[in-house]
Amino acid sequence: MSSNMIMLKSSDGASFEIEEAAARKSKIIANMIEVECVDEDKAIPLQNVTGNILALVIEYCNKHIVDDDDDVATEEASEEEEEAKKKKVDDWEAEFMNSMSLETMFELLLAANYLNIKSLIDLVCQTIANNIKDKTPEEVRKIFSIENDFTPEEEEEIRKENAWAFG
Amino acid sequence: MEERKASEGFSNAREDLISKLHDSLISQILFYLPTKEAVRTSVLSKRWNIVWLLIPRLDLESYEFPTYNEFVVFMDKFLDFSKGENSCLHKLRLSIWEEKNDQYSSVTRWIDFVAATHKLKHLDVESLIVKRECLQVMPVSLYISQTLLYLRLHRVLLGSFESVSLPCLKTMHLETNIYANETSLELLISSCHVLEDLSIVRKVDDNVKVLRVHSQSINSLSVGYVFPESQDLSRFDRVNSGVLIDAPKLKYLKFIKEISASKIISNLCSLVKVGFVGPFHIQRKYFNGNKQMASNFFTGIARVRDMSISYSVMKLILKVESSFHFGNLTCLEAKLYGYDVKILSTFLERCPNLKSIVLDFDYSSFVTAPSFSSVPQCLLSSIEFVEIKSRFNGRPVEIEVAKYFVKNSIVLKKLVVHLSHSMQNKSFVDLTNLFTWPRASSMCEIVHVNDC
Repeated sequence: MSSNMIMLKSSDGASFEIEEAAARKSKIIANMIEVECVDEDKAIPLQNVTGNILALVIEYCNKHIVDDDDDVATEEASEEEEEAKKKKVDDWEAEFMNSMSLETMFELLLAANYLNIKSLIDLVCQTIANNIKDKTPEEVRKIFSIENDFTPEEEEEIRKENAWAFG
Repeated sequence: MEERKASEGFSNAREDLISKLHDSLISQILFYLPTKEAVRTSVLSKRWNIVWLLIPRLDLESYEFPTYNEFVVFMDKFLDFSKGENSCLHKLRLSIWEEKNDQYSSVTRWIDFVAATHKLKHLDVESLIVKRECLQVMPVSLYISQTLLYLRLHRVLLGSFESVSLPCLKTMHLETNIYANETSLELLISSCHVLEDLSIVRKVDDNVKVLRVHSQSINSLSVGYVFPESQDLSRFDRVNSGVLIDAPKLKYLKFIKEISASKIISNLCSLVKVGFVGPFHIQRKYFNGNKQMASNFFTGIARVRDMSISYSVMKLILKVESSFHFGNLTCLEAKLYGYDVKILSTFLERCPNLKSIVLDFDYSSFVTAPSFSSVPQCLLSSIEFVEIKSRFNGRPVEIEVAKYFVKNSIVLKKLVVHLSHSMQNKSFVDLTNLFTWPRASSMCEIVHVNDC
């Protein structure tokens, strides 16, 4: 294998081996590698990420390192190829997000935020937004278990204030 | 708790994790919602009451509000909250539907405000039904935004300004605006040092006769006019109007209904693709001391690899220079009326290395089949791909054109025809019989596509 492997250790003690190029999707890990805080034999401890979530993060990063490498050489690729490739990634992402519960999704978002992986933050936020889209406030509360702590009068007042949006 | 499936297939959350997210993450989630839906989250709970004010993107059409005044009140309130460090807004799109004069120039004020936050990256302002004398005025602060990447202005007034500094602006679309004068528009364009993509749709009464595009950075340019039906064309001073382009990095150039008389281009050494959409005009006779304008123009674009063209431009090129050749041209797309088809073989003689040709016919008039007088060089040596984009209905002219290419193109690999509805109902045998012409190329494949 040509590229370097590094070790990551989750908060619950699980170790994962990952290609350096994939790990660099995380700005935090990339920074650590830059300033050479990474000891080759030692795993990088990630205190805020559990093993099951880290496994998902790694799955995501592994999937996207190839795509990023390709980006460099796409100048010559035809539009159709580009489109087909984008569709493949989109399909993979949809399937990836579809496979997890909302709880997992939030944990993944927090992990992506902690590790600073911009594209993964965007993907999770977009997926969560899709769950809010075209729903009434009542439906949104139900999906996300949000407790309505307004009195009926207060709620009425807010609806009135931006009546155009509730029409 | 019992798990119930939401419509997307997700189970409902067991506990409220979303409300525990940091404001910045909630704001990112709201970024992916239409503004109206983001505003609706204000009612979810106290936690959510004002979080939506942190949305990074505001996308509003004034007609969504019961009255224009309510729209103004909403915007004022939103921007009042966004004062100082609070502002996260980096994308603003406003579509204004208001006939009357906005006496407080609210739009000007808002844009002035957001331009000054140093966060705005994307601004799109369109004004749709306003009268000419009541156009929204762009504030001078807009021209010195240090963060703006994308700007689209539609039907607004760009007044005079003293200096322009838009160091990040990459895309600018200016559509049917009114300008202070020619010089200010020229200054605006030439002062954007990283501008890559520029499109300008002009009106005949926009205070700009000659559009000057001097840019060291643009890569893609589209210029042209729009003529509303109500507009009196007699007011158009066509003879004194024109376009001057000097853009050494320009790769893609498009003229859309560009009917001003004067076209002067220089330094188009990077040009790859040129397109002509709708009517096109260039003065062929003596003009402002420039006798050679038309021929200089076509010489200036002669090195392109890719061209889309109409019959009138083909005719113009053939008239301007009898010896004119497009030596690098490999892809040509042509829109022709049925009766123009004969020009094709003459024009193709000017394209000795053409590899691909896409034809779009318009059969509004009855036409008899053309007879082509010659077989141009490109058919004998380079044409590999022919597509007839318009619906193939088996009319004599379509058959003759298709047959002409199949019979004469020695290296043709593929002819694609898009079958019309009635042709799609024909049996496979009938279709196969229709396309049994002698083929000059042994590898030629005829593909018929059924578009729905």
